[in-house]
Amino acid sequence: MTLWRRDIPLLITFLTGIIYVLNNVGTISIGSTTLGELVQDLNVWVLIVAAFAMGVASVNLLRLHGEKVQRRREGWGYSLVLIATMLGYMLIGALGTTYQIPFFADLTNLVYTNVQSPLGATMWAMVGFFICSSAYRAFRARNVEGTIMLVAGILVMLGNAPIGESIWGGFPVLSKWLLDIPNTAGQRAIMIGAAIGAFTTALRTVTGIDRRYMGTIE
Amino acid sequence: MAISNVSVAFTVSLIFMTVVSLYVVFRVKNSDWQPKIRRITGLDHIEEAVGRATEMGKPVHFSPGVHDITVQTAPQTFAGLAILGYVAQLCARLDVELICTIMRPNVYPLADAIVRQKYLEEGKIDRHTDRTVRYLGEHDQAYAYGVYGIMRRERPAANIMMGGFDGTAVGFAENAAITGSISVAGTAQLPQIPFFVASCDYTLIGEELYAAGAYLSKDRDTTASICGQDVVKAVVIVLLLIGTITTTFGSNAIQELLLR
Repeated sequence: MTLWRRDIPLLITFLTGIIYVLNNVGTISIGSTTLGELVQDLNVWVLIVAAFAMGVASVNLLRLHGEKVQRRREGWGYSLVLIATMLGYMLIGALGTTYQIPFFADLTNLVYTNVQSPLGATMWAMVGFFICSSAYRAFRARNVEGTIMLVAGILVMLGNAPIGESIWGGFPVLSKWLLDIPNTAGQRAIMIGAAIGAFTTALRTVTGIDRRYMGTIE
Repeated sequence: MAISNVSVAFTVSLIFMTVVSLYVVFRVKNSDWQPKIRRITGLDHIEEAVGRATEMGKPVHFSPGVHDITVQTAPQTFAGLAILGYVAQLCARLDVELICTIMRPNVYPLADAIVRQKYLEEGKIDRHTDRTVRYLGEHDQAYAYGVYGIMRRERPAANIMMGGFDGTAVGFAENAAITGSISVAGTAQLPQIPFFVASCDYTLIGEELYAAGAYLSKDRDTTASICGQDVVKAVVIVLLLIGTITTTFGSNAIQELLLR
């Protein structure tokens, strides 16, 4: 049992991890094949595995919403719309792109342009408001850190807004200094720490020291 | 076998970091010394948040991020999945409903296996259903709308977000705040960190996310790897100091060395 559920996945993780890492060391040739070509082949395998994963995940989505419709739970109508949209778009997408039927190809683009795109734009517009409300909550002078954020935020805003410069010419200079010096230094420190942390996490995963992503099968 | 166009700096760094990390793990494994990791405040609040959900009889929402396991930011997702195991165990133990939302299909089977295993360990496998780990759709907006909807309809008492996140995630925390939920987040995505700091109650910044998995596991090997990470970090700090001093005096030796 552990051979299939633990040992073989660990071996695959180790080998593929090593191949990807070595590919970044330089151009490595084994006989007539380069490691880069092997990585390209592996990338195709990644797509194949991802297609299976998409199937598994889609089944979860369908079961979840199918059950909601079947039991007439609150909001079941929305679930019905989701299932119909998902299966419908899958069908017209397959007929339009895979079988190249012009009517369905146009319909695929029409739905994407007139439904998906406006919904996406709406989402990003909402994010703008969420940023404002989160900034309002965070920029309250509750403690020393909050006060520093508040003061720095106000200075940067005044430095970037035209009204700031008309109040005092030093605001843009101060704002630029805040962004270029303390902000960049802090960001770089986080970046270096995170890069080392990411490396160690990757090393733990590739070498099998950390196997929790498999569901801790011992 | 032939090697050409070798990136010297990358290769040397890779070998050094690997050898140091594995050496520390090996040394700790063969000694009685138990390395200690400093308390990570944000993580302590996860237990508090799940406890709050228990008292209120409301669910806990968990997201392991919006990044895949096949991209450069995959370690963030793996760190998030390690924390998911801890959260799932707590939820199973305290009989709290867990809602784990997933954006990437590749992450779904892993998250489901982790949660299922933790429920099994706690003897609560009957509580693990299709509704526990939910795939919402592999599109930023589809996932975001799905999470916003869950926040509004199911009103979780705790919202835990650990992994790689992008722009839409600020909305997760804001919707959580609107519905009175506690948000604990962690990411190493630099552009997202300020938004999490502003919108969440507790935030794990950068490398804290990676250390969190080890901190929660209490496993000797995993904790030892964090010690190896600290040794590497100390060397990087020394290099930075030398680089700063040499650059101040007009020498670019360190930069040139690292660019080879």
